[in-house]
Amino acid sequence: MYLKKEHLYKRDEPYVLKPGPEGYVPPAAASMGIELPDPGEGLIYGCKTNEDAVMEEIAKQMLTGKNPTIFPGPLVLWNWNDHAKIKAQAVLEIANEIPRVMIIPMPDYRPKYPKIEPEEEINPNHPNLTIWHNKIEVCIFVGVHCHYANLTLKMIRAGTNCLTIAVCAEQGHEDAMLTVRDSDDSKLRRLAQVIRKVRESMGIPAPTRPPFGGGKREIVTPEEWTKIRKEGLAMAGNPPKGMPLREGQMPHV
Amino acid sequence: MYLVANIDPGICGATSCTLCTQFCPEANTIQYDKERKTAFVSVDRCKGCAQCVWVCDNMAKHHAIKMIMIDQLPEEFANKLTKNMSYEQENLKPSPINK
Amino acid sequence: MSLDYVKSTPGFEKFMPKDYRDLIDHGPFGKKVSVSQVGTFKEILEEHPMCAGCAMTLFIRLSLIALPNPEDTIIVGTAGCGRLAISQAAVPFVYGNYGDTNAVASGLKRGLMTRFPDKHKDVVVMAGDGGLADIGFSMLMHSWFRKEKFTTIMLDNEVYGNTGGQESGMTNIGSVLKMAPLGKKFEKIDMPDLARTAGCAYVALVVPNNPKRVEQCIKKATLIAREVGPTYIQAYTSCNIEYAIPTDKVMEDAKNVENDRYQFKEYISEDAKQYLAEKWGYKEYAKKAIQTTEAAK
Ligand SMILES: Cc1ncc(C[n+]2csc(CCOP(=O)(O)OP(=O)(O)O)c2C)c(N)n1
Ligand code: SF4
Ligand code: SF4
Ligand code: SF4
Repeated sequence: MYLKKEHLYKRDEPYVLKPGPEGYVPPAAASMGIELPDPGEGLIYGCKTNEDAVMEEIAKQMLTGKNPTIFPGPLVLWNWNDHAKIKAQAVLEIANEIPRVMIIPMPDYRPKYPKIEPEEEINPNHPNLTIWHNKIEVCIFVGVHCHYANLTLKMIRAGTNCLTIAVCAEQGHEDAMLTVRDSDDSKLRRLAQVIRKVRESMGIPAPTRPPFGGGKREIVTPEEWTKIRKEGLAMAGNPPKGMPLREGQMPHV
Repeated sequence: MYLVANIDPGICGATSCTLCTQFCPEANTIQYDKERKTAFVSVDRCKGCAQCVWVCDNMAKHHAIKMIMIDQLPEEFANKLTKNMSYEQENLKPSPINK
Repeated sequence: MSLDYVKSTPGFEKFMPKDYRDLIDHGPFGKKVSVSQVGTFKEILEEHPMCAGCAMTLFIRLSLIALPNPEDTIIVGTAGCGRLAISQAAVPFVYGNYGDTNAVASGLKRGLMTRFPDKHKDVVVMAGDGGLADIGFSMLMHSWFRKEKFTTIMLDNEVYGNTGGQESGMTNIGSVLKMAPLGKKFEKIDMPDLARTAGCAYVALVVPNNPKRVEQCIKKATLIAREVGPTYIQAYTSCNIEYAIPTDKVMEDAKNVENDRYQFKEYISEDAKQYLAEKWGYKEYAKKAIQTTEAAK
């Protein structure tokens, strides 16, 4: 299946960015007229919307979709600086609000050829393998550099029916179905709270177990998880001194 | 079915010269088991080139490695997959400070 | 300098794949590893699609082990077989266009020197003989003329291996290849001599069947390139596919070629010797040691 003709030529109607599979080479959302959100906004299926509304939609999708998964990228997984550290904790806060969520890391961008372990990791050069293997229908990307988010999000839209969410530290990502921008650790924590609120209003009970790894494998025990969260919460209330609280692509500060 | 390298721990353990480990073109494929004092092959990474056989035969002169069909491997081979590998790390010294 | 950036953030340690956990706990970052310890630590090279038994793979593996500070190294490569493995290593890899490597590396190194003035970030070019001696030739030479401070390593398999066997400037005279059926008509380019003339502070010619020597050459070349000047290593890394060498005879072939046209050669400029002795404690290059050996002669 190649690029569908109507995508190329029909530009008078607004393009709706919805879960795929959209075919072998889906158009870049930007080429279909989708713009990045302005500060205080996010995108819902390509449409600029107030950030709070986007967060609520993210919460609903992550709570109701099949096999919800968080894909943390290198900016979250590696201990570049103190900000990465507390941002990582904030991501774990989000995971803590979603029942039966999986955390599958994207530790770096090497091509991982000839084989990857789809239960252990996701790779930007063939993210579809991990999505298919774990039957993921909704996922959050956080901490992936823009150029590889580009690739990953388009490939997922091309070949899978997964709904993609980009919680972006820069200007948001137009190729994700839902996106919010400028996500530093405080915004990540706000997202966690929105998810909790929505979950409670929907009558979904709080998770009883820590997040899983791929294939719903148990990675940390409940005791370990409590410890991780306790340390994380202590860190959030008491950020390390001299911490550069600024965002950016350059991790060595 | 394909060939992989198999090390005889009896012969290798007598000297454990670690020469083959340095000559295998694949990284982390011939590992060294400190307890049993023998090299072993993590077979899921072995590409079957038999370079280690040449090295053990001609350089080390110990004749401890044979190429065998993967289904002929001894029972214990399940432990020799990368997944189960543990690194018997020696106490490595810190590298010179890069300033 | 703490090496926290090669560790995972607290809380995520256990969610990392096994390869990465091994790398963090048992890898070479911030530690002194040597080829004699292989098999006991996690190497930065991962599985890759290069041919079984390829000597280039072995050389790349040894070089990656030999890097003095892998956590602060960037490798620049290009089209050709080598990049298939180098791109699977846990060091940043920049894929220059075919022929561009030394221009890319020049810019990269200068940028890094500006961005991290108080720290050495090593830049290493690793590319094929075609990539460096043919299409990348002018950029290679000019990076040397300009005395750019990085290391260039030629993976010399004496053929264009990746594209099916065309002759390169480094192919030996008379060699008949799949896509050079009449045989090579002119001599193999004498790159080590050119490197010396063009101003390299360190030049070495090695074969991979001496892992310790490979290690020492790579270490010296990277260290010298930090402060003294450009360095060049040329390694014979046979292509067993294009030269039809049975994989279990690759080391035998390397030995024969070593005796024929790849005898170990090393050139170190006086400045570089002094630098190695003073900054990195190489006793053999200390002034006294040199004088005594000369007196003995
Ligand atoms: C500008 C450009 N020209 C041609 C090619 C095609 N190409 C890809 S790999 C290769 C040969 C590489 O040979 P060499 O540098 O000797 O490396 P080897 O594969 O032998 O290791 C060529 C010609 C290319 N990628 N880019
Ligand atoms: S070369 Fe032979 S004797 Fe030496 S470690 Fe390898 S298998 Fe053992
Ligand atoms: S056969 Fe080749 S790949 Fe396998 S262990 Fe021996 S040298 Fe390594
Ligand atoms: S084609 Fe030749 S040089 Fe390339 S990987 Fe195969 S054996 Fe090595």
